[in-house]
Amino acid sequence: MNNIFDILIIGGGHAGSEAAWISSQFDLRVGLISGPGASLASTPCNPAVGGVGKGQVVREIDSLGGLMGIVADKAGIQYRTLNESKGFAVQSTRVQVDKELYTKYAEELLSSRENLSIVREMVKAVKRDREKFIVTTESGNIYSSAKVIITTGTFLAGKLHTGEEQNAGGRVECQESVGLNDLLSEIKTLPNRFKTGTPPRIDRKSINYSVMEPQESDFGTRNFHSLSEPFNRNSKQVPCYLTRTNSETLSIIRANKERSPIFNGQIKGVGPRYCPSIEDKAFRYTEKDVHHVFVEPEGLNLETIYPNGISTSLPKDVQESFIQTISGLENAKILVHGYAVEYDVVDTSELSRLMEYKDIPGLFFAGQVCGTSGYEEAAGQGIIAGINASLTLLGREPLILNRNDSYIGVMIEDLVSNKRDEPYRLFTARSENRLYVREDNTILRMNKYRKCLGFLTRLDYFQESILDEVEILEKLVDSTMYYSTVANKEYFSAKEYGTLDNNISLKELLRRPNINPVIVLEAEAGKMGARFHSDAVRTVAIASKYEGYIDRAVIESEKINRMSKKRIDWEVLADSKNISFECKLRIKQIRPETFGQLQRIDGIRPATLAYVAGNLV
Amino acid sequence: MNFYTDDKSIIACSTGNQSNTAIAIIRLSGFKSLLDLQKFFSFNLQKTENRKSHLTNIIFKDKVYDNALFVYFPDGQSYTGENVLELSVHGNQLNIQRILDLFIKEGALRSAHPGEFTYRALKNKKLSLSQVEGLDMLLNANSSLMLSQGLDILQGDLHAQYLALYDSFLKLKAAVEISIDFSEDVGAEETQIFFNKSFEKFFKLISALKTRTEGNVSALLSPEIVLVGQTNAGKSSLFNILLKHDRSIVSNIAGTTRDYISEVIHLEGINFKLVDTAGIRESNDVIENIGIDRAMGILSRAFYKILIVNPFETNAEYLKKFSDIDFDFLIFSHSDKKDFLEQLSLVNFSKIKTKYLSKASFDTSVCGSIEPLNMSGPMGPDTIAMHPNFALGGPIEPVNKSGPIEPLKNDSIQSGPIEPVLKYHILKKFEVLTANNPILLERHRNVVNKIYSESVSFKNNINGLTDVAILSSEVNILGYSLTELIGIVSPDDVLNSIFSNFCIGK
Repeated sequence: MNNIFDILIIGGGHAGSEAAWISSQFDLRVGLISGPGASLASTPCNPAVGGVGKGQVVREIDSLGGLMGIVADKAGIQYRTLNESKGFAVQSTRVQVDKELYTKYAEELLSSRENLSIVREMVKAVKRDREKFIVTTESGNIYSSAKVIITTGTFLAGKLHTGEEQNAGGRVECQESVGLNDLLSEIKTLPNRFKTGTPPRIDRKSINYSVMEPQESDFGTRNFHSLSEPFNRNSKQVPCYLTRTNSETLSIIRANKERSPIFNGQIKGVGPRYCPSIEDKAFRYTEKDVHHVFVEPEGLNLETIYPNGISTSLPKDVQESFIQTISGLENAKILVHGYAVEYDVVDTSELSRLMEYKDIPGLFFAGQVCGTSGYEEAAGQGIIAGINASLTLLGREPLILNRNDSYIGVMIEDLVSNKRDEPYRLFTARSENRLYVREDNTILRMNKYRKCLGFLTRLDYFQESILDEVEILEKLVDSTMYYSTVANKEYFSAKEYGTLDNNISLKELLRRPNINPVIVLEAEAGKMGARFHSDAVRTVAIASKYEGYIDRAVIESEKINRMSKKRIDWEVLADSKNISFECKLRIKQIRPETFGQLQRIDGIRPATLAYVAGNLV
Repeated sequence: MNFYTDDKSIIACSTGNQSNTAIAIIRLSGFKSLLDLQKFFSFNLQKTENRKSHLTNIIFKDKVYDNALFVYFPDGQSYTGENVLELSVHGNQLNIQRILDLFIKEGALRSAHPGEFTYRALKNKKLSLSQVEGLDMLLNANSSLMLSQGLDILQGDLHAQYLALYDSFLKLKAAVEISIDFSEDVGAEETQIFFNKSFEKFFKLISALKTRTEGNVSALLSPEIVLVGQTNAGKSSLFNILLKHDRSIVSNIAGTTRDYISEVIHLEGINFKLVDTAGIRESNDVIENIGIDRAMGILSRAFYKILIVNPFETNAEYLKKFSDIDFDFLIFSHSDKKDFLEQLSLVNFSKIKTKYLSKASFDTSVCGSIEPLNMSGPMGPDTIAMHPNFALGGPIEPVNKSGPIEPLKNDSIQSGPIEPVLKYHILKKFEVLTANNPILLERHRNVVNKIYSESVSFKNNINGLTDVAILSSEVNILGYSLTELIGIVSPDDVLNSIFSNFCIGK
């Protein structure tokens, strides 16, 4: 095998797989190094892809040409549209995946790339050698590459905890890698390590499902990959189940406080507040004993069940006794015990928005090593790191996503402009532009970024055709009028569209409360003999419904524009310690003279604007 | 204000720099480590206890500059949010300057701009913009009302109310975010209860704040007592009587013109500007018309308006000019003169509105004398019944006012010297107007009113709303105006509110 690469990715999880996949679309020599025992794109925790905010990320990755949506569709065994009753603008897709199939399909796709070599070795050291990086492995091989992307997840100096037991490891049954500073001494890590955890896995045959609430797969949820048939399922669909903890469960946990590594000081790392272990729940919310436990199959042919909601690092005997207090799990047999893992995290404020380490050009980071949690967050960073490693290698303009039109943009900006003090997960609350950054209009939002890659594949033609249809439909909803005639009034009442006292446009009809704009637009466009792709219809219908609110939000947030004529001193701003490094760089490049110019600089954070605005008052 | 500064350590004398005093306080802020300053102190700084006072010599290269006390406030526990050192030195101006020069020259510090310590406190989020405004009011107050409100905004009840408002808004927003981002973790019902409670509390708080913006407060900031009346009515006499005991030591108030005479009187801790509109006479020539206009201007912003009428020299046209003014007190002067009541009955003051009235004489003694003058009928523009039936004894009720007005009570005006009676009424009015603790800062009043009206429309818009996406948009709009009062509502604050109130994580 050739030992010289253009781009070498260290780590084969979701970030590494996306980085390798997209880099291999460019005409480059790409290598992916992954530990010998670890499967590629594995789902070691919750066997699900998507979720609120995260579903948007999966579709954004898909629009850029990524892997995750394709694989999730193939391996999906239960689909759900979250927030279905809460309004179109906040709906998201989540798919339970068969973890065996997920890895299998991901490995198949990656192996199909001829210019991508997959290397199964442990990396020992990464060294800079002028314009190249030299990567040495434990088996003694030496590789060189112009660009290196580090996507090592929780493996850097990883340490597992189950009660008093402590073992080195990246995850269960996987060898840890060396610490980040041993790998590459110049890298700044966060002073605090991060911690995450996973629940015990239960033997499916030992569970009594009859006392639990089943949650069936939703056949109306659209597949992630835009080229997949929207509603076809590749794998068999199975239900998940819901059960709950009770006071007995919690009292067992509370009685074992001093045996909990999180509470007895054994674990020093910072865990995420949004994904607490059952111990956290027991001790932080002492008045609450009932917590949801989602019983999720890990695969169609796997014996293990993932009980979502009871992640724990308590000793094995405590895990066994508290699990068996839960309704339906009285005879539960634990096949793999829950554990927590602590790991090194890189200081992301040292990264640029390309995901490149600013002091070491050519070195990129992505995924959980950057302090995020979640497969989708990792994949989103991975694809951006892969794209930018490739584009910069080819001497082309790098790709930077804007926080106003993508969750990936929100995430990367949040990461690089702050030192994180806990694992980072995307919430829709992190976006200032939630009503616009939706799943249904992903192609509309992302096509301009996809175009920057310069590919011309089926995906590109598909996106073009959707955009054409969207444009036609937008004109249609504006120009189609319903005159207040007797016939139309009857038609409206027959269709339950409401009254028709004045002439209204189709767009106004779509905005009416109590109607489903997607169904109505589909019907009304169909009535005119026009047939549109369901994705285009959905985009325009939902955009019409929320247009007023999106505009109003934009107007309100742009009231700050009144300040835009005020003069600012960019030199002083560029020195201020209250402004993030990235913003200061941009300020030095652009040298804005007024607040308005500062605002228009791509990538200036809202916090910076607010800070400057506060000073101008 | 364009006030961008570097991050250098700064130094300034925080106590007065006009004259020599016993003690002066020099403040240093923004230095990296206290130990970097060791060369200036005989005290071993490694032994410094935070926020405790220590005795030291200020030295440099074996030379002793002063004997001083110092207190160290580490960042996070200091006023500016940075490392702060406060030196209490001897307050000789030369000594102060010498010490400042020493630190600036040898310690890589620079002289602070005016207000820069506070600016840094704002930057480091130790103070909010509102608090800085409160501080400004406190430091520059010229009335006890402003003084106490300055303190109130800085750390008192008003500040607490702003914080409570912010907190309830965060919870409101958190409830919406929970319902979107964590719908599988927290039940819809629990979220709804949380939402309703937060909004109820929010609305209660903003409504309470709104009542504190009602009424004309500009009159309270620097309250003026204005005397109007024709020449020889007795304005100057009354002016001097009121001034006699309470002339304020504060004498220069900006805005005084030659058209009128003003002095400051000090009543129970409150400064009032006493204004005698001496130049204003009858209106039958052009110049005097200008005088009337000016008097109207003064009256419109006055806190207490006194009209003095001499029944023996009254011009009916003159009185008509004041038909739109609500007077607080109407005094008929020269009550000691013969035929006073007879003369009074000839005056047509049916267009005059007043809250109290009496007759008075300024000539009998240095302090004058006042007597009740009660009339049988109501007073107001549409009333003519009062002429000519005067009676001593019946109460008067002015009409044409929006709110209830206290009728003149028999015991509220007794015969006697003028001064205590008038002062009693002036103070009483001030007490009533400040009873709801009005918000004095114009910006705060505007923003509070804006938030209130947006809260009302928010309340109307969310009725029966099931689309959480739209609800979130409405909440955000409410949040934009809130930002103007209490600073940016950051996503991190909202997430913190979520995590501290709910068990998230399925």
